[in-house]
Amino acid sequence: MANEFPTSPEVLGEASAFSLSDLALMSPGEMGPSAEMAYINELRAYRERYERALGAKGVRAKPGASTKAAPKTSLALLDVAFGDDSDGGF
Amino acid sequence: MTNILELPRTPKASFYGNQFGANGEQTRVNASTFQTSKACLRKYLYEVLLARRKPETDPHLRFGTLIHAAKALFELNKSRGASHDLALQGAFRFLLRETWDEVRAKPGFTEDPLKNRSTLLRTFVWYADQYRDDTFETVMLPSGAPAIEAQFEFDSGVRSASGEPMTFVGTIDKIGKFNGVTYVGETKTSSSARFLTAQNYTPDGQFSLYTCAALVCFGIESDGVVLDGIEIGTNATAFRRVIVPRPREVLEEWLRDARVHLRRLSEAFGRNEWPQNDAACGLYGGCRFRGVCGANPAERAGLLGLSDDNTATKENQNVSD
Repeated sequence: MANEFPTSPEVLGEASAFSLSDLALMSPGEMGPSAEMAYINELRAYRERYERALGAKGVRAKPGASTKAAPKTSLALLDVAFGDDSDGGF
Repeated sequence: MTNILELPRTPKASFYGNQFGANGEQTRVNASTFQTSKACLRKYLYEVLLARRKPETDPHLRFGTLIHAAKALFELNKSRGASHDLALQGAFRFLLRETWDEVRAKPGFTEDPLKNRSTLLRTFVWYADQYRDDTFETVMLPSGAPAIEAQFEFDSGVRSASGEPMTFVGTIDKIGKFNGVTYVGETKTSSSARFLTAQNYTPDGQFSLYTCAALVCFGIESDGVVLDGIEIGTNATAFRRVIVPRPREVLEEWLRDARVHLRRLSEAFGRNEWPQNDAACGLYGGCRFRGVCGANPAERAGLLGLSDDNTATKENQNVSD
């Protein structure tokens, strides 16, 4: 799609007791506080792996850095055009 | 033949709040609908007065709404003294529940490749951690409450067709101090960083309105907007914070111009004249009502999902996407 984030297996790999895919399918009711924190920590670990992979590839891990310009899709435009619809209350 | 201009204009109150007078005229104008009216009065008629907005299930709309709501919850709990992780967990739980389909016992959010449950949860956790030691500190409103999700309303100085005061309304994400300077805070999500720049929001009606509102409604003079841009990718989320200045003179000019636009809107309602602005049809990837406006006038009510028997309140039909 629009962004060119790395998609290599080593970035997406998971290596702990809780897998992101399992957590994603767990209902909020059965999840409980410990699994919630586990989910949060897995997402943090995923970010670390992602940023490490960026570094290994020689890509700047600067927030917002995108290696390619996004195509002119209506999706991208609609994003911003309707961003303020979430202003809540009105 | 159904004449669209003669159909009742009674959007559901739940959709827009009570922004409409008894005659269906919008007297409390928010940034989004105001922008629509400026772009094209015919689009305003379809989208706002005939309530043919994008459906609430639209992934982009839903994603942005949930990010804003979770962020507000997170900030509120932090301002109440919760630790970072506790506040994050609370907002995360909110998102988990909001995106779960209890009836079908499975994730209930959209399947859009960029805006889905996984990218939402990932984005929020990364966002909260990205600004964990944020130096953009929330200021207090005159009421003593933290300036988070601050709702405002102020008189535009323009009267509606029925003689009522027309007001500007909205909700400011946050007002805070960044490097010793006061700014309005606003978060935007996009699939491309090129839309998350100061240039893209200069000029911009919402940013100008919110900066005005901080001053008019809360007596807080700010230098502009801190834009927290969130760039969503399929496998990662990136962040960029930019300052979008709004000098006082620019705001005053914006307000003068806004009154002219409001008078035109009031006049359009009074005369029931909603001209198409065909110079705007191709902007922003193409207006979604293009198919309606291009059709024979006799077919338009059908295309909009309207009928003669007052079904104008039947909301949320996707017209021409």
